[in-house]
Amino acid sequence: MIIKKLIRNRISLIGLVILLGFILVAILAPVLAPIPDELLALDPNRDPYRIPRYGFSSTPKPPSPEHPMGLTEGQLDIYHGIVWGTRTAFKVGLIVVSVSCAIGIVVGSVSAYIGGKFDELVMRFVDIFMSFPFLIAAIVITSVLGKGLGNVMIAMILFRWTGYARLIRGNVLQVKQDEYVMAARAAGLSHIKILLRHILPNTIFPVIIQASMNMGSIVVTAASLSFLGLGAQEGYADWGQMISYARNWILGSPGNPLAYWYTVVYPGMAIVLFVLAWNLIGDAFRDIMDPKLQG
Amino acid sequence: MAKPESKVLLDVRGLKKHFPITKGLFRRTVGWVKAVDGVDLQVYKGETLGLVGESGCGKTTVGLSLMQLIQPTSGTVLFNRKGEWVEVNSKTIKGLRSEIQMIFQDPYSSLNPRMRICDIIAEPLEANGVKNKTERYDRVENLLKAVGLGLHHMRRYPHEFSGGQRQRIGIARALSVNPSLVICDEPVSALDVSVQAQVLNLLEDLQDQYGLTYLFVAHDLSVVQHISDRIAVMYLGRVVEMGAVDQLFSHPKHPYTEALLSAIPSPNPDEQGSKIILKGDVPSPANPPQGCAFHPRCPYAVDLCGQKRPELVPVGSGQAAACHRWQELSLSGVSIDKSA
Ligand SMILES: Nc1ncnc2c1ncn2[C@@H]1O[C@H](COP(=O)(O)OP(=O)(O)OP(=O)(O)O)[C@@H](O)[C@H]1O
Ligand code: SF4
Ligand SMILES: [Mg+2]
Repeated sequence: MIIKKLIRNRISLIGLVILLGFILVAILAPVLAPIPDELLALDPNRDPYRIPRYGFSSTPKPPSPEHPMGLTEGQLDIYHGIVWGTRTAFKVGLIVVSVSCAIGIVVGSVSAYIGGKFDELVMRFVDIFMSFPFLIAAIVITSVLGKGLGNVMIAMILFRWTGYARLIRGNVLQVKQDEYVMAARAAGLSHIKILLRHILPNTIFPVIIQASMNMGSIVVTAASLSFLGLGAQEGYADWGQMISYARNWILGSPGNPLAYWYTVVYPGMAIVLFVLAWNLIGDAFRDIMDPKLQG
Repeated sequence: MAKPESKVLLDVRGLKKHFPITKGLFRRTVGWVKAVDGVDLQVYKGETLGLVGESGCGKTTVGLSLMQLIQPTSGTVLFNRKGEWVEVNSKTIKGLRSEIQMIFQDPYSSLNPRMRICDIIAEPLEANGVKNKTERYDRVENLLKAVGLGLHHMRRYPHEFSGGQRQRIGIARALSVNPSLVICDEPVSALDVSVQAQVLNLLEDLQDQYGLTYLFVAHDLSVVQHISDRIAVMYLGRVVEMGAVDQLFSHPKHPYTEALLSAIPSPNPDEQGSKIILKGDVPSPANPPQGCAFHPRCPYAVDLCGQKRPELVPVGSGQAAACHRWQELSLSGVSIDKSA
């Protein structure tokens, strides 16, 4: 039913179509951008996320029939990186959002439901997390745990759950005063059932909307960490990394500022469209989740 | 302490609920809202006791404290379970949920918007050990009939109903576990005047049908006049007068009751006495006056009233009042027309 409404809303339809496109690309990645046979022959267990390299010159090469999006710095195939980078984006986005959202929902709702001094203490703890500048924290964490996408995700989860915890806490504090919660307690329902049946269904949707909007921004954050060299390893299919390869070529060559446009436009477009799709869908969710509009 | 009489179903003594007023980052307690500050009352089996008082005097807080939905600060509440006295506290309340139920003030906030009517009404059954879903729904069907709703309403959601219908759903939920005492917290005050009478009639019918006892909260005397057998009048967290309806209406023993009575519009314009206008506003329960809490506004106040708090004492004919001067004053009541 939610899907039906998403389709009816024109703006969200655009978001949905873009997202569907990305999902297809992610699913069909092995078909769209298979590992070239000659590389597979060298190493049958080659990780498909490793972008094939076609030479050793550092200067990018423009799109050609063999490399439809061109080759970026180090002769890495941009098309392969974009296609497999879609999978990376979904992996990072979904894992970071779902884990941090789950932690935030549990901590925030339980804290608010118990209330009082306990809640106060938990919120001070949350404040401490929120007062750290994220980039510095991410640099510290990756220098302790080591570089890599996995550790970047851990860093993001550690600093993302607090936003969800705050959001749901505020909602729970309101809803727990509602008379239907009193009625459920008067009925003798257990606390866990009250939380699951009465409080969460009436507080969780703003958090889900927030989460779907964050899918985009998390991918941007992951990209910027990769750009800074904290994230994906060298040559790994990741949009942020693709842009970081374009770093030296963005200004083009003397007299031709657009000489290397493809190094930045394709990965940039992938990121922008991905963020846009999630934001459009998040907006539409907001209208749909209002129970008063349900027929 | 002496056991209450056997006709008593619920006996409340010295019930207090003080809410902390907190300030600052670490929620330091800087004061207390004395929402309920020593309430004494008895509810008799099978009767309707009207609990009346202005907005903010603590009526809802009394109801919630009785049900342990908020933890009372102090006081004892005894419940008569088939002749055996049980103290109602946070430990015993679990076993008493099927004896004491509540109907809430705001039918728009008392039903979970995301649950179907059948599940809302069945919830107390589920929580009190009726594990079988069909059994629960069978009972829900009977309850819907009893409160004047149709079986086709079972699977609908609250937003499809009017205020009056929602309150009927709330009533069905409260009755699902066959309670003996139902606390009705201003069950009609949020409804249109045209619907109020229907819901009040329904409550009276159900009382006869199921042998219910009601603690019926209202903020003015005219609503409870017809439905109550006895009335307890509250002012600023305390019961100031309690007695049978006719007795309390015709011979009030507390100046506050007299003032409330004078505000009831009389059906007969010639009979209309002069309305007593109380000076000032209701004081804040965070900072109640010393002595008799009513003294700054009482037309009969004397020096003693500002110094000593009057206790609720029997004043004859089953009536009780908390006023130093109940014996000397002759207060004017109103005659009530029970047939109306
Ligand atoms: N949780 C709370 N924390 C602090 N103060 C409270 C709380 N609940 C109620 N109060 C205060 O206690 C007093 C009594 O409130 P209560 O809701 O019991 O009044 P009431 O008689 O039911 O009023 P109404 O007719 O408006 O429903 C009010 O001053 C209110 O502000
Ligand atoms: S005790 Fe005094 S102030 Fe209080 S009601 Fe009686 S006369 Fe009035
Ligand atoms: Mg109230």
